[in-house]
Amino acid sequence: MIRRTADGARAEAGVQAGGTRPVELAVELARQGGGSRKRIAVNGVPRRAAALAGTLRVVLFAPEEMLLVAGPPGLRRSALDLLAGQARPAYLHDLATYGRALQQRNSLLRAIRDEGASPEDLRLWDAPLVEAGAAVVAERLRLLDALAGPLAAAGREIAPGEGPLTVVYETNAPRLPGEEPREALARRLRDTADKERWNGTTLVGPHRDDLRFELAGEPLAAFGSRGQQRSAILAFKLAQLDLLTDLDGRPPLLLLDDVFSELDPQRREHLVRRIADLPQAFVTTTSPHDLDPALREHATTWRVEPDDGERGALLLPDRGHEGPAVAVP
Amino acid sequence: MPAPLIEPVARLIESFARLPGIGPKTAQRLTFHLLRAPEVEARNLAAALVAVRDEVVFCERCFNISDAPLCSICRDPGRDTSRLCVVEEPLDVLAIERTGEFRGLYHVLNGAISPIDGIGPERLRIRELLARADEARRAGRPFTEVILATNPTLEGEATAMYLAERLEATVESITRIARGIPVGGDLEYADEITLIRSLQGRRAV
Repeated sequence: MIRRTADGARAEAGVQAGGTRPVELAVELARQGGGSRKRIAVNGVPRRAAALAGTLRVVLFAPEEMLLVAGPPGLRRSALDLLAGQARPAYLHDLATYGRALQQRNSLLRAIRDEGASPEDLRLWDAPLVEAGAAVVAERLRLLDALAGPLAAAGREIAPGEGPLTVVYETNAPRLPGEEPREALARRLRDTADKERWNGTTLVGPHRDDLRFELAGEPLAAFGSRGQQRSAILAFKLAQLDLLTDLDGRPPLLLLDDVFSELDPQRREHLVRRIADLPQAFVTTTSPHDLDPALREHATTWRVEPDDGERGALLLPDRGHEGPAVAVP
Repeated sequence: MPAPLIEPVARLIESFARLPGIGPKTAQRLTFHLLRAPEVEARNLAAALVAVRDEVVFCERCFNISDAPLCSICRDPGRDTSRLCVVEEPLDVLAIERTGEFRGLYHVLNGAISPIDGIGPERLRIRELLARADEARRAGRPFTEVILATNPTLEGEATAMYLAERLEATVESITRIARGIPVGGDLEYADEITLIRSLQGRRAV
């Protein structure tokens, strides 16, 4: 976010991961028109956001994500895409190709409906849509498969005795026996051809798929209490930590943005134990009293204070411990 | 209110800013450079702009830029008229010509199919390409090879697919340019997608 009186904002990070050469990352927000424009640089060279995926692995836990189980499907798709992109950067390319093919196809569907363009030309976009779409679905399924073990374990730890926690992929192009994902998607496209021409938009594909969190086989969005939903979200995040760590033994960076106030004491305690095991984690909060005393023991605390001069804010060391950092704005 | 720029200056800045790749800051810099530069420099630029519009036309056969109804490549009797290379833009012709490797003829589509930008096949020089291939076949000298050298983007691939389906009956063979690792490049520095594509497109040695 850009401070009201400032022209821009900039965050820099030096990343060094097990034996690799250090990488300098910079993300800059500059005012443009009524909004802002983001610029990303890796070692001083401007890059696209996708370039960050392989450089710094991050698990972010923010208050918005408390809606992950019961909120709109887009939240769950983004969470899954963010994870899949970090686990395998080529995923982001498939996802971008799929998104572009989808846009082209939807533009053509509208042109067919409104301007009499030739429906035959849809085939030009079906091919990349089906190919990239099937790759996206396959990677999502592979990822959820790898996540199942860590997720069940984290669920057991956080809420013992509540039954197994699972995540089910809900696709709108389910495979028939013996069918490949791309064949299933192509078949569903054919099935919905008339309807989508009427609607002027593509109705099937991974952009409309969803995830369903289940506890002991029951969908949590419909039947879970708020506490159970929060446990599931916490378990989902911790399982991501395990999954990304297992890739090459390097734990990702855990970023916790003001989430302690959203958790009850038992879940906080569990989270603190996990944070203490990590080589690095950043926790931000506006109310330091919400922090677990055990966490404050481990952590280096920084207080973020407004600076009356030209610069945006100051980081002031509060106490000098090694370990996870806590920033108190 | 800051003092407004005088009209001729503001107009030049706006004109520059409309060009691709030039933002408002660069447009200002170019304008003030021309104001300070010797007068002849500015007059030369203006004359070059007028000449490019007055004297440059599209070749009526291949739609490359040209200074005559037929471009220098289409006029050249030494070219191999049995091979045709299809590209998106005139700049692509220059790029391939620089290699000196291709001695056939070109066809410039002037874009790629892209519904997002409202560009359907009818907005490109596709009808003319199909007519050209058909004419050559009727004359008993069909193209032995048509190289589809549109960009390896989603739009370029879709355009190539569209052309391949429609050229099938009139030409002997249709090929698509390869994708892969740049020569002199280091595998280590190739991006993953390029590496994946070059692995998929590998061949026996």
